Amino acid sequence: MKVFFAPAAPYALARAWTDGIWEDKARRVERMRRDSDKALALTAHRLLCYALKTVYGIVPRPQDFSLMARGKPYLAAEPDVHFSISHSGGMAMCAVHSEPVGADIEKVRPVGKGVPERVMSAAEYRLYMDAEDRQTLFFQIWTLKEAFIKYSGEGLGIPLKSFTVCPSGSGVDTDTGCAFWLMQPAAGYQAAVCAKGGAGPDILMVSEEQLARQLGR
Amino acid sequence: MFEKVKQIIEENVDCGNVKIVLETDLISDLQVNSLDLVELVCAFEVAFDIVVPEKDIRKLSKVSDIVAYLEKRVA
Repeated sequence: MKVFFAPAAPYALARAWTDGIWEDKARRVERMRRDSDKALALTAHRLLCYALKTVYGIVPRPQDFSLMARGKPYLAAEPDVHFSISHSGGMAMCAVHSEPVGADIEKVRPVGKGVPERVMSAAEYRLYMDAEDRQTLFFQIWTLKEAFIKYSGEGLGIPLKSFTVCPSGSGVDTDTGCAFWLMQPAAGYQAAVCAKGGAGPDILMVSEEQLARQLGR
Repeated sequence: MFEKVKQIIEENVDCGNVKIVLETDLISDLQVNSLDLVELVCAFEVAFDIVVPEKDIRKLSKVSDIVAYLEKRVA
């Protein structure tokens, strides 16, 4: 598994990164009101194209992408290529793997009252209440849960409290039967990936200049 | 109801210069992610003294959906 991270590029640059973007995604980017949101979404898409080209030599066309029932994209003609993208704040993330994978990144910030109780299982909430740094632990648990949900392709269809993740670090989680890895790609960000197994992730930071280079066939 | 919903959204989501109207879509217009959505739902629960089941969260996409849902729940 390889996990790529990139800071959001300025919109003046990212606005041209529409190669290979599938129709539904292009429509959603078009509807975004703020240039900063468009820039982040287009950076994440460009990072996916960069990862597919770098790892598999694939330069996808819009029609190569299909969407699962809950909107998770996949490459129909490449059953052994799996990916998951995420973005938050000013960072984009893309995990690619030979098996299904889920990735999530969040900018760490204070969360609203009642949120930890609402999303955590009883075991997770006990850990949270005992933690010295509750904010960090919250985002570790949250990104692990989101990574699992994205791995499953079910979105918020899976009740967040219905399963427990292990925030103590990387390893196979007995509740979900998946392997998880936590990472901090930059100060103030928490990220996690989830897969059925396989080797731990290679983590790669990608610059704006690397993304800007031609990714042609 | 709309004004109260609008106020809660503005307090909990970075709306930038996006004007909140009934047609505003939380995801496509405001870029609300899963965590933002859970936070918003928690805020609605406190403000209206209700519990929103997880299965209902996915129905809350547009501001008009939220207003209709809350009007039904607090009636």
